[in-house]
Amino acid sequence: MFVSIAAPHDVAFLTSIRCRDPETLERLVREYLPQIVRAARAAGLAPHEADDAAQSTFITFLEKAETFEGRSHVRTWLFGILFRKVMEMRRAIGRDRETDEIDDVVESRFNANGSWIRPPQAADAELYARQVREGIDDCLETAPPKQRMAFVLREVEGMTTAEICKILEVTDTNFGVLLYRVRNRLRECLEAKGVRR
Amino acid sequence: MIGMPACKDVAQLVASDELTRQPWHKRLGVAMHLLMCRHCRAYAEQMRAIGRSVRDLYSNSGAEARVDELLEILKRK
Repeated sequence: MFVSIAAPHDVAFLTSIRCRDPETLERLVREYLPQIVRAARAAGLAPHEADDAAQSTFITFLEKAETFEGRSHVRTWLFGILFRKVMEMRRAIGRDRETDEIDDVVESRFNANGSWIRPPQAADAELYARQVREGIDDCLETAPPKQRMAFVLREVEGMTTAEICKILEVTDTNFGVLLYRVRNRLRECLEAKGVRR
Repeated sequence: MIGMPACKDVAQLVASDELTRQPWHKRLGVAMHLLMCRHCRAYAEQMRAIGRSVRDLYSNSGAEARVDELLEILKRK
């Protein structure tokens, strides 16, 4: 295992990438291709689409390496390219809606005082986990691409809010709204399938 | 203001991951609320279970990434 690949302002790394140094390229690909493929799959692309999107991400990275100034981590830059490709592939550009029907669904669960009217049902945790595993694939399909990507970067890739905001080009508050909507959408979808805790 | 947040506020803070950005007294209020409210505890646990499930679902995706194929493509670029 090597450490410290392309931290911000890593001049030597930037120079190597711009010169297309084979060793640096190999390190970059070995370190990040599996992560990029995983995120593309989790974002909803079929296996062959995820492979294509990941390859295309690195090709774009190399083509644009001249303009990469090292102001962010190279991983952030790669995931930013991937995010835009996923949005293109899922034809989601320009569909960033201000309103979302899930907000009304969640709102309807509370009374005017903000207390639950229709609370989540309590049941066995192991049973719930199994039911989630069975239903989650279908429910993920109901999430808009940007919400799903926000969720994937947080839950699957375990990234910080600051890094995700750079990748998705959103504010902290926008990111909070994306997470709130996608998590409630998944929970509601699972509950509608009869998955209750 | 110090006080107990409503269930709706707790749900919003939990689902948006905004709890850690709140001042200490708000975090304390949410923690106390969760101790007393089984509905909000169930909600928070469901959110955690959903996250875990998706993490597990994709944990091995990418392991078979075609590194050598991509390296060949990049060399030709």
